[in-house]
Amino acid sequence: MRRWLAFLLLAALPLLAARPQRVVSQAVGTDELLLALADPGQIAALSHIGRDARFSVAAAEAQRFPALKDSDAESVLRFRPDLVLAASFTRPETLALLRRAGVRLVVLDRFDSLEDVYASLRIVGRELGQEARAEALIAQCRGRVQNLADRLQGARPVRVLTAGAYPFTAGSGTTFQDLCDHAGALNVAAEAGLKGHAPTPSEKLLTWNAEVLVISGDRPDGSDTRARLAEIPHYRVLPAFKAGRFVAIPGALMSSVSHRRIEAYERLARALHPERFR
Amino acid sequence: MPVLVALLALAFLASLAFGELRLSYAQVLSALTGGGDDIARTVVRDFRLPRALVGMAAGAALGASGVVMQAFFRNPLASPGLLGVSSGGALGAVAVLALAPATGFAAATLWALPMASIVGAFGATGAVLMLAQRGAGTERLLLSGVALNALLGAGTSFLLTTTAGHFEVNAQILFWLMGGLESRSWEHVWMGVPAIVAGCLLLLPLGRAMDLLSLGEQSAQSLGVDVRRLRRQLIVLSTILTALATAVGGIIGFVGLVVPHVLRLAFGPDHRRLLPYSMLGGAAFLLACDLVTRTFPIGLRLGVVTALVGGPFFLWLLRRPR
Repeated sequence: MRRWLAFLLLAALPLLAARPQRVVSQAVGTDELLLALADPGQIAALSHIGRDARFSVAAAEAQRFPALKDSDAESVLRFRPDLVLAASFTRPETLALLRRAGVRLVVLDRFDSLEDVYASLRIVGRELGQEARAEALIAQCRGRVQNLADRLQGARPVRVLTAGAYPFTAGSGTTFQDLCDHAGALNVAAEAGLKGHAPTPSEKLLTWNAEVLVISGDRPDGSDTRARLAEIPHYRVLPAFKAGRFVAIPGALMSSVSHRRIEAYERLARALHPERFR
Repeated sequence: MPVLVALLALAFLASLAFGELRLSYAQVLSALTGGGDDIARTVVRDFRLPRALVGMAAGAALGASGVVMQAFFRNPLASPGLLGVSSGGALGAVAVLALAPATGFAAATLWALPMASIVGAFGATGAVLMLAQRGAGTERLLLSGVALNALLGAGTSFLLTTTAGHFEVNAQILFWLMGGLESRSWEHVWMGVPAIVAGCLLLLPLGRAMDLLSLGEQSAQSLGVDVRRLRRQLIVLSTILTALATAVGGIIGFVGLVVPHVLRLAFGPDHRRLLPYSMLGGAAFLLACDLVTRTFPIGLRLGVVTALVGGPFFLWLLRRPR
């Protein structure tokens, strides 16, 4: 019996050893993936803004782990990582320095759709030796999205516009468009032909007939953003603004590029189509 | 003079007539008189009209302030921002913006940022005047201005970097650094226009004394000008005008430098004419540049356009054989 156990242990050793034990995530988007898949013991450090709830959906969980001092290569290497997760929007100098240091570096470069997110989950799962956990999470995500689609089946899309003090709005091919597509919403900016993030028009807004303004801000109820919008003439004359038809989604959730954004779909769908969630 | 008035009138009418939405002249006219559909009325009366009025006032203020600074320092390089007034104005507003996420103060009222800007602008001028008080020589004042500009600019850059990642705040900081007339409303008209008009009216009678000042302080003094008093009046009025222009439009460069020069080349150096001409010319130039930012809605900033349009034109004018 003992022999058998010893044998089993020996056989399992390379497997255990292959799992990285000091993983550092350099970006917020990779923080959220890493936290979802890794054993707590595998995480050496998370990104430097990962504990800030304005930027990361996983800020509360991130509190339990060390954080990078800065986003540069030296801050990463200080933790003597055996695996570094970074994103394609990480500064190229930083990536080059990390590569030169000989650390195993995985750069995730697709964040546009949920399928991209699933692909990223699979990559991170494989790197961590947590393939089963990744597959289970993907299946769970697919279930939530399917459930949402079933509930919204046949619902009239609500005309929405993303509004903020930042003078750009999101058209087609953006994470906001992806949010609308999953939440029973019609993005009026995309309908008007805006592609990507484009300067917010002022006069044309009046003709877009947005029924609801989707806002995000530092405060969960969006009151800070609303107050800002009240100062901008082309927002405060909109019927949706005057009637107070807002949906506030936390900024970190709105811009999340991980599977956590499904929560944003659910929140927006619930707010726009309450009758479907009774 | 009639040419400039006509240009300004043209620019003003164009500002009302053109924009994102295509409105016919008849629609614009009926919107102005309270008729037409809701959208046209809102666009013309609540968007375009205040924007044009603020632009005109800011342009006039900067043109006038430029003339004054160039006469005051008897230096062709002088411009409204020379003493740190605009930098101070920008820093005042930016400081409130940067603290806003913590305090929620800037969100409280539309007036907060312009007021903070005015406080910053006057703070900067007060500092320069105090630094230059002893001796109060022109050169010392100039150098104090350069130093203060660097200091205030560093403050703004510092706040810009500490708020990096806060896109909304950063976008607003860019407004203050590069100027703009977007999202101007009637509040901005009331804040800026009456005071700018008053400042310009107070400045106009000083043209003759400024002519004498350009002969040199001693000559002016011997010709009966109270030079100390004149200099004080000039610096105070020029500061007020620049501060107000910055408060409603951010730092708009180049207008105050180029417009007086162009008009001096065209109509000669007589300040009795140069002052009103620069007000009209500054207003028309700023409106024209704002029309450019509206025609190409790719996020062009007003301060960028004034330099992009004004720079080459000015170079051409300087190289032209006389």
